[in-house]
Amino acid sequence: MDNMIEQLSIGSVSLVTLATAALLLIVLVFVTYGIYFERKVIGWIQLRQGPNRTGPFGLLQTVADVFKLLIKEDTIPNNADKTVFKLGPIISFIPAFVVLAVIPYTENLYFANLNVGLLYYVALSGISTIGILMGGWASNNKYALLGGMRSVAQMISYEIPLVISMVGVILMTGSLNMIQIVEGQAGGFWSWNIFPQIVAFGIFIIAAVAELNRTPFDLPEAESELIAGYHVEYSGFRFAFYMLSEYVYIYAIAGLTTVLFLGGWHAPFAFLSFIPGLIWFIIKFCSIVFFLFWIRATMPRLRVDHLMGLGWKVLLPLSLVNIFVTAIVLELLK
Amino acid sequence: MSGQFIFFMLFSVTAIGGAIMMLNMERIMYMIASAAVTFLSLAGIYVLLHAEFLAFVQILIYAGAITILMIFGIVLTKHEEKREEPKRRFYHISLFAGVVGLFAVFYYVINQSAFPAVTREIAQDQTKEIGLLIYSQYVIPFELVSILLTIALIGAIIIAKREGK
Amino acid sequence: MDTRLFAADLLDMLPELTLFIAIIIISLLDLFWPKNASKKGIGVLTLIALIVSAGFLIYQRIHLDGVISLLNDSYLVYHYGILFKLIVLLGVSLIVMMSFGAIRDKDIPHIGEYYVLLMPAALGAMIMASSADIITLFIGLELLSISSYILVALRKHHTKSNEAAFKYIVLGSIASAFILYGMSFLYGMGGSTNLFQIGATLQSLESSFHPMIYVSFFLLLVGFGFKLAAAPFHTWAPEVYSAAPTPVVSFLAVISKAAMLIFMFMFLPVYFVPLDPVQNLTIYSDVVLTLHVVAAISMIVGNIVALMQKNVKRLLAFSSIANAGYFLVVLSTDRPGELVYYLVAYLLMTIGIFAVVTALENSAEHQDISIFSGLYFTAPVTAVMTVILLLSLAGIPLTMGFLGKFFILLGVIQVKTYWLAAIMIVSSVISFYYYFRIIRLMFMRSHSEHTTIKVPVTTMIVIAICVVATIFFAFFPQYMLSFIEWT
Repeated sequence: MDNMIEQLSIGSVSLVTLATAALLLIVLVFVTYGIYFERKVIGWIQLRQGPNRTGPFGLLQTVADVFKLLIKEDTIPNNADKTVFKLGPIISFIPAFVVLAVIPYTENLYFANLNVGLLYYVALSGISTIGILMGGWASNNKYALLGGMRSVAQMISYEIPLVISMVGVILMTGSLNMIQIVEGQAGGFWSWNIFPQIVAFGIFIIAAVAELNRTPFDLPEAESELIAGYHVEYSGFRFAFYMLSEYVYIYAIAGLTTVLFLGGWHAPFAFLSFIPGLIWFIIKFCSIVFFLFWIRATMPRLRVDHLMGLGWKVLLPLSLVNIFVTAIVLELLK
Repeated sequence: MSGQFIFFMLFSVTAIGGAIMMLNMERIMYMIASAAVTFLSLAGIYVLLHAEFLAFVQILIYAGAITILMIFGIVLTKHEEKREEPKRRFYHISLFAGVVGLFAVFYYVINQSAFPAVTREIAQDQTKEIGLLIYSQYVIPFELVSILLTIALIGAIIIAKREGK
Repeated sequence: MDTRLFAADLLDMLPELTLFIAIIIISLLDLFWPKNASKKGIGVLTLIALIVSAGFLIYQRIHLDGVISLLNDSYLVYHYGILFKLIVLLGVSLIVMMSFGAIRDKDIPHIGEYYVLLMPAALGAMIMASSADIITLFIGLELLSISSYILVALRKHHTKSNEAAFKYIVLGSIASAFILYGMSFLYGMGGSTNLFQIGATLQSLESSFHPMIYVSFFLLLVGFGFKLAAAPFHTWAPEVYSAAPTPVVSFLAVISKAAMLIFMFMFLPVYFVPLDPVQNLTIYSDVVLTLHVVAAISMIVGNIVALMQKNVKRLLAFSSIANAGYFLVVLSTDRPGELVYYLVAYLLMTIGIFAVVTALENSAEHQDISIFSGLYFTAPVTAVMTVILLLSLAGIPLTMGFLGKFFILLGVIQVKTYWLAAIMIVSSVISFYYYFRIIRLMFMRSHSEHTTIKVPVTTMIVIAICVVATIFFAFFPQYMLSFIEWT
């Protein structure tokens, strides 16, 4: 990153632009088929077919949906604060995309090898919240505002256990650098962080689902209570941006879980390491994504007061205890 | 012109611009957005100074937590959108003169001090270095900060708490 | 220079550690305190913690041999530091005792927290007296400031009080920001957070840095002036003093000032920067001149505006502004012994008079100066003691207040700053008028409003301690001076 800034030339700028465009393309493809996959999985779990009309096996369903969103009329409520209303989706999306830069896919395939990679992720993902709250506030609609407030309260409450559960992993590796965290988990599945840090893993997954505003923590969008939450007044491509940033965060969280707990690109057994690291990464990544969809299809929604209680009274103390125990055990083993 | 210089100019202009906008905006939501711009630009300047840890902590605490807290405060409280400020011409002129004067003094002072050019080795793992310093030389202020935060928390609770009767 | 803290080093920090642990334990105890039990128990525990801490300090003083320095002067134990810490603890203990009778449920809903919060405030002040590291000093300052913001805001159902607390927080934060900005210049030039090292580096800097040194001082001065309530940075004081709970006001008037004085006492030596070696000029002489000007303004403004006050607490606020001027004078003459003597005198008479005010305002339910009228006929003992305290504040001979001011005056004359001496004398004479107005009120039967005044026992004890000490150390100053100079 520093080198890039210091030797700013046309070559390096265009290289970065190209790489970014490529990443954006990958993410868009992921989101398109992530949504398709989600609907299929939920369909099967609920003994339905899922989308199967548009294209072979319904493969073009999401494409059609996105196309519909893009050609829809772009409406802005009359009493909305227009500037903030327009800014909201953008501010929400940019950090979602920018955090992807620090996730390493293999030893050689990464965008930025940042010494404080994990901190970068945590810090920037927090900014999305501002976008959500701006959208909810600017809509000048009480459901939108309520949804926005709920969303922010939830994201802040769960960001803390999320971050603190990561500290256990950081303690094990002694670094905030994502690549070093993966390197620390080399050599078989028993050295993956998920086993020594099983408590942290549990907290992390729960908090991550809450951060993503997904069932069972989808209170900000609880249809039966709030119609649709903070984006109730949004339509067309602005709505698409909010949806997009949500799914990009799924991508990011799945990548992060893989890196932090599942050993990144490392194979579970030494004899399987002839399979390229990227494949292993994708397998782990996809299973996390599947897991998220699976939870969504099977869990009922939490009540709003239970949600806050769970975050502050269970997950937070538990994650703090986890840090203490990890530190003590590491000190004893040293 | 190095990339560093371009970015420095960009960040400093947005930092100062955000601060000025924050003071001049009418609606509070805009004020907070401008403040967030300033916080982010400062983080950018920290990155240019090779203080990545500080930069991202700045984003996490200021742009993430404090901005959100301010928005919460606004959304949850009643406030008059229209503020009728009396036109105090003399007050504003003298204020402007004061600010310009202060800037002139600082500019003169900073510009004419001949700081020696020091080349310093940048620590590879800053986070670790900061951690080591906090837990060795600065452990006393660090522990005191914990009491400080606890007190602030207690204070916030007892002042905001509604006596249930 | 060892940059690690060892368990053995904690022994040197026992006075602070005692408070640190007491804060945690007592605030937890407060949570589980029986609902219907009196919260005075919390106050008693607080008092015990303060006394234990003072006990450790005295032990430390007896066994002190030179200076103890930990973590590159991040924690210092030195002679004057211990004296200041003892003063702080004495003051806070008296304030806690005064609070037993003064703090009522209907004024302050959270009495338990009130007592608990006095401890971090005292801890902050103590830290300011035991460090030469600007980070530690600043954290100590903030600990003191934030605790006092909350203490001022504790009268929640009192609109004026809320407004005053809000102004105090905003202005106080700005003052802290000024101090921080000044410190950042010092750090930038000195390249260290250690004040001694900064001082050493500053002396060797070339002359192009001198304007920056001045700028850093003036930035610091704004913050210092605010926290000391010295004019022209005093505007918050009358409002906050009249709206905050009276024991808290005495805390602001005494402890905040004392802590700020030791803070300045640490910072000022940094400015011994030679300007012109031939004429033996240093930046310090300009610093002293600035302090003198601020002191002169404080004395004049404080004493003259006090003449027009009808509210007792506002009057005492202006009196404390004037006293900030005296403190700045003694600070600039660099005589820590006299500073400590006058500080003790100021502590005793201010806390004493505020204790009287708490009793009177609680029975009269207002703060007008007329609460004193006819006091001699309703509570003669209290009235006589009040007269002594007021005479001491005014600086009439045979009181500590007189001796303290006299020492300061001698110091000023010794450095041949006659104009300042003249202002000091004139402003003191002006102050006689408003102190005597109160005394006159007390002996007027016709204005008597109330028939009986209940002075709580603990408040009476506080007043008595203050009065006795004021007179005792006026007749036998040598006992205190020998303790101050004791090496």
